Amino acid sequence: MGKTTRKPLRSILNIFLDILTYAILIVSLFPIVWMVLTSVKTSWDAQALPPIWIFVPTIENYVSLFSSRSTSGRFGELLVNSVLVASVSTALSVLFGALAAYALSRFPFKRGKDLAVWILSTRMFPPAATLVPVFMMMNALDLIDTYAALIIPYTAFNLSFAVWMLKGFFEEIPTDLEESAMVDGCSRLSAVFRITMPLIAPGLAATAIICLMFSWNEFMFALVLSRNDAVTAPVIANQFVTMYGVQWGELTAASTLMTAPVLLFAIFVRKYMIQGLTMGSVK
Amino acid sequence: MRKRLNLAFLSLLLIPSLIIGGCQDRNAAEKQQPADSTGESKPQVLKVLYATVEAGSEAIIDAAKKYEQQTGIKIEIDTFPYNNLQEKVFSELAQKSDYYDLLAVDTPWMPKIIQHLEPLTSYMKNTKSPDVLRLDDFIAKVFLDTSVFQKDAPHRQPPQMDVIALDRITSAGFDVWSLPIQSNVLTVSYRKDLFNDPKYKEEFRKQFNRDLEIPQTMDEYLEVAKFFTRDTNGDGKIDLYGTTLMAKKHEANFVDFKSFLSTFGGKVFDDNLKPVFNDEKGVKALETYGSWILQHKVTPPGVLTYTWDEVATVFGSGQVAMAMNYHNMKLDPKVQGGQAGYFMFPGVKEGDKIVRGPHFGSWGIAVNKYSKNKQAAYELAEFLASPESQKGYLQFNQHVTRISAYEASRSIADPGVREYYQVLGESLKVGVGRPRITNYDQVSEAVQIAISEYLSGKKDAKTALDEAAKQVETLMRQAGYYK
Amino acid sequence: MKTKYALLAPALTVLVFMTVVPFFFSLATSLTDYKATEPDRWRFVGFANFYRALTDRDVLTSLWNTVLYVGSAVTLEFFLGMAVALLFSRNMRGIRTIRILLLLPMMTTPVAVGLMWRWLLNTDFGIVNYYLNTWLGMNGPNWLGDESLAMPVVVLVDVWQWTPFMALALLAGLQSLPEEPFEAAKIDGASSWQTFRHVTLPQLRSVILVVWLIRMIDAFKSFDVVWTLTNGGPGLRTELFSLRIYRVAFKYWETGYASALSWIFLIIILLVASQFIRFLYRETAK
Repeated sequence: MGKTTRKPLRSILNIFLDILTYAILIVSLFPIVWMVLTSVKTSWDAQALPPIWIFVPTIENYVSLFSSRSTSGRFGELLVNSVLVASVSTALSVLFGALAAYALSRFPFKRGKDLAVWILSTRMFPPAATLVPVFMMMNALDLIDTYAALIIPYTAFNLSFAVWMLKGFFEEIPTDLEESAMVDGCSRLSAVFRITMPLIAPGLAATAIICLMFSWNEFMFALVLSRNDAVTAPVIANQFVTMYGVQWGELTAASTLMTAPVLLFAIFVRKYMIQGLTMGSVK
Repeated sequence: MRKRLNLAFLSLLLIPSLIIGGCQDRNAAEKQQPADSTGESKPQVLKVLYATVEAGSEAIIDAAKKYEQQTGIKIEIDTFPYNNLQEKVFSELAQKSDYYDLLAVDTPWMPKIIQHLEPLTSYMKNTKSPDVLRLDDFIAKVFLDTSVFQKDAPHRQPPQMDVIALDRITSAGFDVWSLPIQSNVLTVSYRKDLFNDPKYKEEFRKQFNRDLEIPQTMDEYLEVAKFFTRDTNGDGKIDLYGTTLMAKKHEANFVDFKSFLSTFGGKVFDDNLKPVFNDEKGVKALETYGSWILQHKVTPPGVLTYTWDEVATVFGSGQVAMAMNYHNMKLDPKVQGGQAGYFMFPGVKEGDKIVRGPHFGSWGIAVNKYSKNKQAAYELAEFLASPESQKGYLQFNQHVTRISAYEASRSIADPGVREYYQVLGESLKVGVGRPRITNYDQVSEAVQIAISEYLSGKKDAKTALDEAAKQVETLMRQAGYYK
Repeated sequence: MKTKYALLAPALTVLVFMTVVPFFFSLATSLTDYKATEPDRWRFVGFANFYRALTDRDVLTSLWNTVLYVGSAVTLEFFLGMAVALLFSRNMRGIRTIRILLLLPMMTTPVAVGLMWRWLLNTDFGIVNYYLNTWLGMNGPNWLGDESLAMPVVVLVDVWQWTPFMALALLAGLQSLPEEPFEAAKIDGASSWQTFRHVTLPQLRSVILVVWLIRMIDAFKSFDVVWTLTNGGPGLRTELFSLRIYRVAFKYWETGYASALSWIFLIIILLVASQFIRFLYRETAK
């Protein structure tokens, strides 16, 4: 009885919430949409007032991006560099982070809390201060302008987040699940993989997306630690900010292209985001 | 806290890290060969670290290809965004890296990095191609401001001369440290069509009793700016403004102020490097600057956030009659009948001459002291800055630095571009550069903050400038310029 | 026994490798007047850099600005993020796509974010003011140049960009919660708010703490967007501590001073973070 009278109220509420969701989406996406639109306008149209919403799109900005004679003409190559550096560092941070997070959440350590805080503190140092010593280090090891010079710092930077985030997720899963599996004859490793990991899949997915994003957009280290071979896309995007004005066409084209891979990854990973709920808990 | 205890415990590791630092220097020294311009073998590759459009990268890349064909040496040019090039150049030099042979150097960086650059004087004396070098063909003021410094006292001003003569430079104790390659000076772009419009000409004549023409002095400029600030489509709102200014708290507002200051006969520092920009000329400059924005309102209201790109946008879309910038701005084709012209930054009448002081700053190419191919690098630099190459840069709209190139510009087909080069050439002859101090950025920032606070109404001009002067004096003392 | 150390080893190796040199380099240089551009000329100056920081007007202003910025931004982001996470955890049509789209603000290159907002908010030709003008007849204010508006605007841009981060993490947390407590609550007849307060929140505690901490640390380090938007202006109104350190390190090249400032920075964050963490451990112990 209670349920049937509540139904209309529920649907009004649902509609309201749907609208709210769309409203939030519009506010969030408006600048992004504007950016993508600008990338297919000529540079004059892009700056026109009143803003032009109906126009003939052009791909001249994208063409310019790939054909300019300065470093930016190698945009395709730079995107590949970015993909490589970001994905390897993400994979490493999530993997190493998960291992460390598991250890911290399941095993007693004498100064476990301090260790966790120390791991977090690696994120606290302002990049401006670490740039010079890291450059020195990489230079001494002859790693400047290699992928390693970027992958290692990015992995290190993301580890603090990965460890803490995944630790939180591991702590939410009660240990009895693994223990009952081990009692049933599973090794700890397989217990973790078969039972715990799927339960924290959303956490893993979220962590991976965020780590990827940080590595992907990182600029300062990429600027200083690369010269020619390991230059990544964000360095070039900055190039369009010149003293003679912002080259809006190329900048927005570059930004749009740069957003694509991360978005694709997020889409790929999204099914894992709700896996936890469908798996439920194991009795 | 616990962190501090760990610190003490691990401080033993301090030693290895200092050793690493030391080892690296030693390795670099071992790899380096003694500087011997004749003993170097011809390199296979020369590497150049460069900026992008503000230093004319497209032109340079084009010229480099020609050099490759001529000499067989492969030239690799890495271009980096302007805003961050400083970090890149300085990081490389701080590590005494020999990776790059040639570097693009912006004038304010010179005092800080001069010890990492190779003096070019001896290379120039022994040049194999004097007609490629042609020092006399450089615009003297630009050359002196960009490339002539005394290594141990970079703030000293080089001797004045109208034509560059190497021996006069060396006898005064100076050296040449780079070759100027692109020069930027504050010029005015304006709406020729508005100035030529008979309706406006008539109205101006009635109002001011003289013809509407290009303003030569600051007062005339203000009058023209006031005249053009109006509501052109009758909707009650002003949609056309007289001029722009770059008043954002940014390097742009400092050099704007400096241009006004120089025009009114003021200086940033006196001969003892004591700040004098807060004297009556400085106050007058700042108050004039502020009055255009706040009192006469001849600028768009948002100029407090403007730097180079906003000015270009606002002029391009036809919202202002005149605009000041460091390149020739163009108009959106949609602006009805719009035609862009150019003229020099206005000055002040002194007797029968007009004294101007627009800010200028240039890019030079310098040889990395740690490079292993210094002779070859010098020859490449010579080529890139040569009269022939510079003539070739005109098609890329490069702001060339040679007199012969400006003469060649008179035969450019496009009248707008031709006019711009003429204005550019004349302006470079009267440009005023930045103070050549090692802590330029800090000094500039102190004044930027003062200007910004004055413009937002927090302080009056005298107070703001006085406080900035006090801070600048402290900064100069800290930097060791005086006790 | 050995397993637990083996599990930690890869992460710790990478972290130690990357932090050892910067740690000692900055510690050592903070006690000197080392300038990276003049690597051979430096003197030991003891704590002079730290004393200087305490009396440096620009440093103190930037510290205060940062406290304001971090406090308001992270708080707003958390509450909005929580609301968005709850909203987006519903089974709405197309919600999975919508969730992905929500990530776009934080996926966009920081320089593009900064420039776009600078453009959109431009007083004279920005779209925001244009529509305020034509639809509401208001004279759009100088968003980034007005003394009293600059900081709130900069905070709002941060909120726009990073709320998705909070939302994503909290959403993941919500999705991982086991079902029984919710079923039990339903059976007991709890209202939505009660369920939220007594079932959802306590279980999300770890995740909430992590996102607060991480976001707070990252907000302290906020640099790219603010630099592009206002360069610290007008005056010093939006000069954040991270901007100040960057300026000192890469415009003035006073490496020693920058290191000292970085240590002050680190200690402050560490203090705040440890308070947070202590709070968490106290709560979970209950």
